[in-house]
Parts: sequence; C-alpha cells; structure tokens
Amino acid sequence: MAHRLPTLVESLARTARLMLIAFISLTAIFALWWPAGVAVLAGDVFSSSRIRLSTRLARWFGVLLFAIASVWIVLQLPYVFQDLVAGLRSAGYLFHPNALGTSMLSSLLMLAAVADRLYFLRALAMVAASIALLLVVASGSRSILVGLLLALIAVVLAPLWARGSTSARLAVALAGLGIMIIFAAVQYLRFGELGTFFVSFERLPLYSTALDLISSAPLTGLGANAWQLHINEVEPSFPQDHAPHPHSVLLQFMIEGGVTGTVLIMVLLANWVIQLLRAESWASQTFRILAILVITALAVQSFADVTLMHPSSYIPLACAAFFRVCTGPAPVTGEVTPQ
Amino acid sequence: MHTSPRLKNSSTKMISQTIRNAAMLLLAIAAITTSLLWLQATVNRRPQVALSWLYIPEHFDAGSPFFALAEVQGRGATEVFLQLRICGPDGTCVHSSRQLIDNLDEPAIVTARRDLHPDDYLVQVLVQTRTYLGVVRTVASGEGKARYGS
Repeated sequence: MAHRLPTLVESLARTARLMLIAFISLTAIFALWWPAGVAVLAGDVFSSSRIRLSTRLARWFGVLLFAIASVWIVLQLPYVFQDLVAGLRSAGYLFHPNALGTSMLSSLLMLAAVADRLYFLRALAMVAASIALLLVVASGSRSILVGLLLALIAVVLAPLWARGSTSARLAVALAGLGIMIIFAAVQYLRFGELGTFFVSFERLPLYSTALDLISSAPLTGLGANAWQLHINEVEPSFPQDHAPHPHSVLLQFMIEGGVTGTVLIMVLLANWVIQLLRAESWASQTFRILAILVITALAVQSFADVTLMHPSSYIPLACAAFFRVCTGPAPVTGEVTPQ
Repeated sequence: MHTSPRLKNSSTKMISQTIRNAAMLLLAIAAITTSLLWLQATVNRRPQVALSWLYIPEHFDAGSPFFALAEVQGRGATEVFLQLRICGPDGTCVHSSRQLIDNLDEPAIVTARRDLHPDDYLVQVLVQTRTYLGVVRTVASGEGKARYGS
C-alpha cells in the first residue's frame, strides 16, 4: 500500500485530536466537560477509520435513508402551505422557521449523498431536492439567505474546485440565484420593503452579552449549559426566556468550551470536511459543488443561530457523512461519472 | 530490540511535527484569546455610573406597585436607565420596563406593577447605560428584600 505524506491540516488534526482528549479530560475535573467536544471527536475518529459496508447493505441502507429524508421533506408541505396562506414564515413541523431551513438543507445533502451512489434514485432526488429548496425559501431565514449568497460566491470563485466542469458550477450558481430572487420577492411582497432583509440587528445585545460571558473564562469556557446558568450574572436584565441561547454556534462553543475547545473543534471539523470533499474525487462534480454550497450556507447560518445543533439538522448531516464514508469509493450501482 | 534507522527517523519526525503543531495551535489559541478580550473591552465599553443611594420599601400592599427611589452619579453618560427586577423565592424573576432618568444627581423613582402572589421577594434596582454600539447594559445595581401582600 502506498503511503503519502500527511497534509498540514491532517497533521494539525492529529495533534488537535490528542489535545482535545486532554482538554476534555482536564476540564471534566472541574465539571466543565461538554458533549459537543466528545461528539466532534467521535465523528472525527470514525471518519478517519476504514469501515466499509458491503454493496448489498449499502444499497438497502441508502434506500432507507433516502426514503426517510423524502418523507420528512414531503411531510412538511401541509403545514408550510397553511402558514404561507396565512402570510407567515413557516416552521413546518419544527419549532422555528430557521430550524426548518437548516433541516431542509441538511436533508437535501443527505438525498444528494445517497443519489450520488445509487444512480437509479437521481430523478426522485431532484424532485425531493426541489421541494426542499422551496421549503428553505418558505422558512424565510435571513441567515440562510446570506449563507447561500456567500456560498454562491464561493462556488463560483474559489479555486479549490476550479477544475470542475463549468456547466455544473453555472447550474448550481443559477439555481442559487433563482432561490434568492424568489426569496427576496416573497419578502418584498409580504413586508413591502427589504430593509430588515440582510442584517439582524436584534442579535447585537445577545452578542454583546455573550462576549462578556466568554471573557469570564476565555480559555476553558464555563461548561455545558453555561448560557442558561450564568447569563443573568453578567447581565441581570437579560430576558432569558426570550433568548435561551446565544444565537450562534461559534459563541455557544466559546462560552461552553472556551477558545481552546473551539479552536480544536474547528480544526477537527475543517479536517472532516476537507477529507470528505477530497476523498470524494470519485463523486460527481454536481454532488461536490452541492456539498460545498450546503456546508458553506450552514456554516454561515451557524454564525447567527444554533438551529444546526437541533437533531432535525445534524442527524441528516451525520447520516450523509456516515453513508459516504461507509460506502467507499466504488459506486454501488450504475455508471462511474467521468472525472 | 533493533530499530531500523528509517523507522527511528520517521518516529522522530512525527514527534517533532506533533510538537510543532501543538505549538501552532497554542499560539492560535493565545492570539484568538487576546483578540477576543480586546474586542470585548472595546465593543462593550460603556460609561461608568454608580448608585449614590437607594431606598426600597420593606413592604408593598397587594395590588399596589413596586417602587424604589435611587440617585445615580456618573459622567459621560448621555442616557441612564433604571429597571426593577423582582425575584421570587423559586428564583423566577420579572422585570419592569426601563425608565430613562431625566437628571443625574437628582433622586429618581422606578416603578413596576405586577400581579404576584403574597410572598417575600428580592427587589433589585438595575442602573443601565448604553455601550458605544448602542446596546443597553447594566453597570450598577442594588437590592433589598420586600414583603408583598399580607
């Protein structure tokens, strides 16, 4: 077996893995242990392992995942329709419209991950993915919109995937642009203006308070559930019932695990994403670009909200990653997409 | 046990690489922490205002409003607010609306009418100003215990 030298990110990730184990062990002594670190560590260790499902098992597993994602997307339709008729941003079955948006993007990636291996599902996947995108629009999430906009710029400009076919990139870019035009039109028709469209200034008091909370323990963080436990110590007037979290995954990580935990987790997450995208050299360009688009949009959205930490969003993402890693490089059925 | 020079060389290389990576990560952690503390000090900078004196009654009749008298001192604050925070024995709290103080260095009154059951409550007076980014934050507070109702 030929060995290659590890890249900088891989060797950094190896060290980050060791440091994160040490950090979680050390902070556990002071009851500052936090589940997010363990979850990311477990995901990282799993993705770097060499577990492969048999072809038959992969096919059944893929069909099962595909069916679950499709049913989940279609089930939202009656509620979304009802909300749209009433002129509301829709949350579907979920607790918040932003959660519907992130859940639909994650489910879309799960569909694409399966359909890219099981070619006979491609037509169905396109139908389900279109519905999922329309539901993202119906959720009216501004952070997802900004995320999609940045992702779109990234897809068109970044040199990382510049070798990909121009037509695939153009198709994804046009689809994204179309979504945003529909989104902006819906917002304009509903509110008659676009002023509050791009920027959420209501986040400012939350972030200001979160900064004070982080600076009270910047290196180690304050442990699990720190926002709920300590927010009124730094700001007694804070309406905790109306803002039960800091509205940013990054800030949540920093509050609970400090800069140390956050940096280590970010290195591992970056490694995970890079490994997945690079190892997917056998994947179709469309899937790769779609994955970049969804991951970028979700990452940007996570700067302004924490809905990614809800099971309806992270479970489809985890399933998509699990399926890709476990099915290995060979397509399960059908033709191999030429590179 | 004999170790081949090639293996020895590669493990030495791996250890030195790990040390170098750990140093890079620690450096990144130190840099981000410093930047974050600087950001917090800069973004959340606010005029300092202090309570000169405070009066909270020890008893409020049922149905009558909670109130407190306070005098605050401070310089450089264009807007100063007073807010009441009333916490029950179970730890749940209700807030009054913010009341803008017209003149600093003169006694101001803050009131709140809340439908609460008779009990002992902790009444806090929060003194607030705006940060330079316009966010209202608490800069000083005082408190007293008060019986509400019978």
